[in-house]
Amino acid sequence: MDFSIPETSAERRREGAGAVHGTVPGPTPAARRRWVAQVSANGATASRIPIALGGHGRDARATGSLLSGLAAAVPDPTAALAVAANGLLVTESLWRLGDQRRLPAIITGEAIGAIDLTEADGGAHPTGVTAHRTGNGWELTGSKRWVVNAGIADHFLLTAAGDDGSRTAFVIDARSPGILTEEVAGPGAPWIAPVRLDRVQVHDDAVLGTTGAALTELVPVLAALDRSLMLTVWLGALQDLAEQTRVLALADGSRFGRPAGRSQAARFGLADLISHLDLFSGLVQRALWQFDARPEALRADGAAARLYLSLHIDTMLAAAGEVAGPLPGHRLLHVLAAAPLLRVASGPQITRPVLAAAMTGLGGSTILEETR
Amino acid sequence: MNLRSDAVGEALLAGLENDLLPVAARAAEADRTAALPGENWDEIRESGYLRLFHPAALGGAGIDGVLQARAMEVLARACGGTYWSATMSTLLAGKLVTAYGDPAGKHRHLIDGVLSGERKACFAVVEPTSGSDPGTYRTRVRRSGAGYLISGTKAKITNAPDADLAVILARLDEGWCFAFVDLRQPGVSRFTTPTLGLKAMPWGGFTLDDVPVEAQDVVPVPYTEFARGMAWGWLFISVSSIATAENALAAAVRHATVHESWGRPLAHLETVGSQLADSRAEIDAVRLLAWETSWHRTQGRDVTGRVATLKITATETAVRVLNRAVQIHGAQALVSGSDLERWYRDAPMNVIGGFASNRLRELVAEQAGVGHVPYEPFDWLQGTGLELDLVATASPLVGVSR
Ligand SMILES: Cc1cc2nc3c(=O)[nH]c(=O)nc-3n(C[C@H](O)[C@H](O)[C@H](O)COP(=O)(O)OP(=O)(O)OC[C@H]3O[C@@H](n4cnc5c(N)ncnc54)[C@H](O)[C@@H]3O)c2cc1C
Repeated sequence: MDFSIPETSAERRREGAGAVHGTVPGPTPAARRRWVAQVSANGATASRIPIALGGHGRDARATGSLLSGLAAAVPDPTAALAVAANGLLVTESLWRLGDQRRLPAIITGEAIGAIDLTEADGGAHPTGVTAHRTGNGWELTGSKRWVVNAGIADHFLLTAAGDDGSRTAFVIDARSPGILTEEVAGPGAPWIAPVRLDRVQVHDDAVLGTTGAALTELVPVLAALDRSLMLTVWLGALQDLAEQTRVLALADGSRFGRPAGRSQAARFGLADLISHLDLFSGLVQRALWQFDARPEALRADGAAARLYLSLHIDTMLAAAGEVAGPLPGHRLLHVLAAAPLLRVASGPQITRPVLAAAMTGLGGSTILEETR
Repeated sequence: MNLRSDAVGEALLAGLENDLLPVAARAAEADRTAALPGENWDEIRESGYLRLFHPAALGGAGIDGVLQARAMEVLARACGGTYWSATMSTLLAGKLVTAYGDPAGKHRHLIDGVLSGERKACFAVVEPTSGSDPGTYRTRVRRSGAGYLISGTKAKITNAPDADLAVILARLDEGWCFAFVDLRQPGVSRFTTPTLGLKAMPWGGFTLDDVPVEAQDVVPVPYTEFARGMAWGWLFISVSSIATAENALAAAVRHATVHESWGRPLAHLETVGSQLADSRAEIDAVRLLAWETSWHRTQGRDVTGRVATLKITATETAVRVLNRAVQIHGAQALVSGSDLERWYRDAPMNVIGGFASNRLRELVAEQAGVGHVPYEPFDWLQGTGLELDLVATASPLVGVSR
């Protein structure tokens, strides 16, 4: 075993920050679309795609460094999530399930994909959309609540339940007639919004993978990404939060006329923030390594990484708040606002049973051979 | 990161586990009698455990840091108290002699003795006063002829009751030193202190009354070196916690899959599974950090701050895991003499031993760059109005009636 840090990892992190180039997305849908497209074009989507297909052919660890660097450079984690949903969830799914048609434009950032975060929870979450066979295609009706890049994407990757209950994955034109993005306030808005589908007609070639096989073909890909690479978005955001917290601890505080860092509560809070972050980071690094080297271990160990974050994010944010006091830095406000998204998909209700099943052999799964 | 293990390492661990089976079998008895069985020490010597943490040039096994941490976990799972005693001697005390002494020359005999198990060593810092505050330490080394004399009392020290050799943090002139002191000589009087947990571990202290120390055995060190040296201790204490937690989790998984309640094994209950899952995630996290810091450390990097982080989180995690295991076992955990009862008493020992975790939080904050805080008397409510009570009044405005 070996815990050396690849020399290129700092470079990848810088590259991730460089993809953002200090830009902040504007408030309008058009401005947000431009921003995601630009950041994606700067390398955020091509990272894992093989060179032969126009990508950079990088492994999960290099891609993780890039994404955490990117996320650390974007004040709002939801914006980074929008880039990652497009660059990882949509892009990797298209690639793995053999969609050659849409992939090239996605890789270059010319096109953007949307996806509902809960798709990673597979059959544990209702699809919300039904698919009826028509002459040479399908009619999709229903709604998705947690669609990342809703209203700004070209493609929409979704699963829908057929008449027999089986789920099929579709990649549809996000501007098809009958698709409506709703504007609601809530976690992740405006990046994440509900989308309604009202008798949307799609051609047969919108099916991604095998008809009726989304739970076995697509869901393992999304679940694995959600519990490994997608976590680097949170990792980068929290690393930057820890750094900002550290800096705040050195600044003048107001209580009892002492700098914030003189308060033992603040100091211990900072220590706990740093500690949880280091531990979470270790679990993420393990998941990234497994993604390439030992994917069969990722079901349990990726769930552990995700669960660790769910269990301790509140402590981390409270600790940052202890230092920041009533005037938190922008980063803390953004992370606080985005944190509820951790319950939308791959929340403890999902990761705990996944992990428990791997430990006990119950829950319809096999006990995983110990990965140590 | 590469978590692939090699066959040689796996064979070493499997062999060690096999050699230590008798130690594991004696753990309950050792706890009950609060004594380290002599056979345990013989078996540990023969197993080669004491050589695992040192380079080949010093008679060690020369293995990498991850394998070292995993080997520690093997013994720690077998018997926590025995693990503490053996690892304190060879890892912490042994590393201090190699780092600050002259391991290839003048102190080679000390290293040889510790690695062969002929000598047992301890690291004596804390005194009967406040262990966290070095300002209260009084033990002092002073010059006498060509050598030195050392006097003072050390307390709460692992292996103090039966160690042959002590690495002692003492005052020297205006500063500090490590003194390598032979405890088998006149002027040393020892005492034993009974403990809550880790009962097989010899624990207590000694008083030194002008005990002679040779000049070569006194090494002046700045106080900051103390934390760097202690980091070896924090690492092994963390592994102690990881092992105790893993033992408890394994027992909880076993119990949950066989013990029936509500018509099925307990593990079918959602929150029982959740508690197992939470423990799995938390133990994995601290174990990975233990492997990582151990790896970097044996590569010669200073990872003191991260080992402090590890010590805080690993030791407190184990206490949480033990509580969950008790919850899952129900009354069975509370039967005197059960394994779980023993581990439950072992776990908090690690939270305090070798620096209380709250003291370490200070160190982590300091390492993060927020500076050192001089502790002030708690007087800062004075004059703020917050130290005053509401005064009862007859005023109808506030509705107080008499
Ligand atoms: C199992 C075990 C093995 C040990 N082995 C050794 C050994 O081999 N050698 C050795 O020298 N010592 C050893 N010790 C002693 C150990 O290092 C001390 O117990 C420890 O450092 C705490 O000191 P104390 O117990 O005197 O507590 P005190 O210093 O009196 O502190 C009491 C409590 O106050 C709090 N506190 C103290 N300082 C701070 C601070 N700055 N900020 C916030 N809170 C604080 C902590 O919660 C602490 O637990 C061992 C202890 C145990 C339990």
